[in-house]
Amino acid sequence: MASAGESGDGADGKGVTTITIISSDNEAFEVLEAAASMSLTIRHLIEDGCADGGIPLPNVTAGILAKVLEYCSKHVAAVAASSEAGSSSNAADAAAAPEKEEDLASFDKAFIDVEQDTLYDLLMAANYLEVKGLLDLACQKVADMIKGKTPDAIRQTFKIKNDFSPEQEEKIREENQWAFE
Amino acid sequence: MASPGVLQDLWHLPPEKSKENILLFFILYNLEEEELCFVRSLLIKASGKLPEILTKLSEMAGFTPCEEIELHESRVKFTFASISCKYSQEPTLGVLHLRLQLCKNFCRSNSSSMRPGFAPMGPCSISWIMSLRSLAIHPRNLRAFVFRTLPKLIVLSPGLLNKFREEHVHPPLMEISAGKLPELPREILMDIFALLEIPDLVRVGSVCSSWNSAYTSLCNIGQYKQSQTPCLLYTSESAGENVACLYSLAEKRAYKLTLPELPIHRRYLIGSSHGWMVTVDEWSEMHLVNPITCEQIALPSVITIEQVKPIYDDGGAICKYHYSMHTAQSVFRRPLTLDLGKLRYYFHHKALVFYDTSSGSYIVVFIHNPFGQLLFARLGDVKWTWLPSHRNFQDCIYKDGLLYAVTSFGEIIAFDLSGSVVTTKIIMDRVKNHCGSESVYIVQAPWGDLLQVWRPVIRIKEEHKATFENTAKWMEIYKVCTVTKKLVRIDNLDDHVLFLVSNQSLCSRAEEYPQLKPNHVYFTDDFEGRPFACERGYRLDIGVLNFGNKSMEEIISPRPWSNCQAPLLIILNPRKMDSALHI
Repeated sequence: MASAGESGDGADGKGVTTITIISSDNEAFEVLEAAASMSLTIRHLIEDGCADGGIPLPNVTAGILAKVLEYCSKHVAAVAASSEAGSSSNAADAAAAPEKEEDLASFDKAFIDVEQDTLYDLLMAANYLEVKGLLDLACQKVADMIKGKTPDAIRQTFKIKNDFSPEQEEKIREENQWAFE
Repeated sequence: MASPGVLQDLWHLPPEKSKENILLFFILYNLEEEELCFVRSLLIKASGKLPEILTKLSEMAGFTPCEEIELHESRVKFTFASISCKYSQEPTLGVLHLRLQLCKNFCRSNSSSMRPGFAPMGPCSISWIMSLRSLAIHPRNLRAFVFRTLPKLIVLSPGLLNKFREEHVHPPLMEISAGKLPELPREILMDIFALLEIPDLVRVGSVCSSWNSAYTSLCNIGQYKQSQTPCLLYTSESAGENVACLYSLAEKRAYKLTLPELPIHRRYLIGSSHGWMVTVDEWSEMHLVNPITCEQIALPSVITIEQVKPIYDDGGAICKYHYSMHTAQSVFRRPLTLDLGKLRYYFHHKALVFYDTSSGSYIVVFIHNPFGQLLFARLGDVKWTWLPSHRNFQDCIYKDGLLYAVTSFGEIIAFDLSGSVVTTKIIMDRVKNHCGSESVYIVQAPWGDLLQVWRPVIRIKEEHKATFENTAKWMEIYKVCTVTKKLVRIDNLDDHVLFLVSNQSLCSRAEEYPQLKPNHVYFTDDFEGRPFACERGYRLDIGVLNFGNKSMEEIISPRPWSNCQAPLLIILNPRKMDSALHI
């Protein structure tokens, strides 16, 4: 299994293989293979041996790629820490586990608190790169922005134009009027 | 018609997507011009029947229904130097039609010469079957999809493939510009909408046409959020005859649904499941009603039931019912002659709706008096089928193709309804020797066990309400151990919520309902003899119980419903029933 940028397996067996990812505007990012593999798309490319010299992503710009990789790195580190805590017999470690979960939750919350355009970019990137956790997080964020709002309020929030024809509008109103108040 | 062997290959579907829609691509290979043309797409259901699809196909290709068409598998090696696709950049309706014409003429002229060995490929072929969750009907998206998947459809040498691609702009998989959130591709919109409760979902579908399209697709393929928080559905005199009020436990607010031509206030509500309510009208006839889509389905007539006989007037119309109060084992008391609307007062207790995946149909189970007898019917049946072997039933669930029903004594009987003769098996013996003051429910727990829930039949009058508030409420929940045939008590629901709905009681993980409280039981009044009690001024027993400290609260205070009509706990379903395909 070829992987680029191999700095050699650490003696502690943790494996510090890194991968280089190249954005559409030719910026290179070096990340842990484990973090990059949170993207199924990238993982498949690595497995297919296409990672030599870096993985080019012609559809993702540097700004967004940086954010996605930040998400992946943080989550991969959290997974590693919790599996360590799980196998450790140290009571303090075990007690710290729910706290670490909370940390991750607040990281996620702050991470996804972005402008709509960035949210759009993150959704598209997470979908293309198949990073399930990020996609779920971003989808939930948009869903939360929608909850409890009337259609007019939703249109205002997202600056959507009502492009129904009068007949369509009438039909929808008839069927769904109950939900609009 | 093509040989079954070829068609079986074409029906190879990834198992995990077997329940979804399939987008079928109809690609014409024009031998004369040596061109590959995309002709048309056809959306079918995975559970659809082959003859239906073949009929549609031949119709699309311009054949009359009786003409034979031959189908060939499309895995073919192309040895021609040039391949071009005439699928234009901006197809209009006119262009698509033209393609169809081309296909039709070509097929017709060659129909007589078609033979199995016709090389390299028959003129009308099903190219591949891809499982597609989102309906890509916009030409731009469709083209992108076709280009991405064509290499999988046909074996092409890399050189040809490049030439193929060069002819057209390779569509970018995403455009990162100052794109606005609403412009998200349908797939992602559907992912987002799948997180919404029904009222939000309905509102989101009313925003603009592209969102409406995503919403409709989501509903049609049943991918909307399945774990909807139940709502309380009730009617009230002040709201009007055709109005059903819906109280969302998630949003803690009420909605008013108008059901045209359905005087819901005059009907009894005796059960709900899968978004359907079972109602009993003023002729004591039952219907399934979906309050969101306003669909109504009639259930078999009450006169097909053993105990009910029609009495006709001089004009030949039914004017009364003769209600014989017997079971298969004994007669309870002498029969009654009742007005049409009065039968339901005595006879109807509870009805439950289940979906049987193996036969792909709905089954309705009806529990009626005297002594909790069982009847069942599949949608489309003309009569009810009696299950006379046992009685005293209070509740049932459908699991793994079997109907599990619990009696007032705690017995659980499993019925196998699939064969022509119904067979039974005793899962659990009696745990009590007398019954009457308690109601029992059978519930499927998400961790796999069957639960028995025992609840006292509380009948108090309005004026005694205050004293009732201070007495300890009880409810007992047991796990059914089918191996030892014993009940094991459960003291805590932990992070689960229990709904004792008038049908299909539910036990779910509380995290699915963030607005509801874990270790609580939401219940409504589905005791037998409700109409009697109400007439005598007794309150309906509806509320939410804290299973930890046994304190009880109202779900909605003050109670907005008419006293004699108990509200139903209902889980909404926005999907219109497709009767042709029994979904």
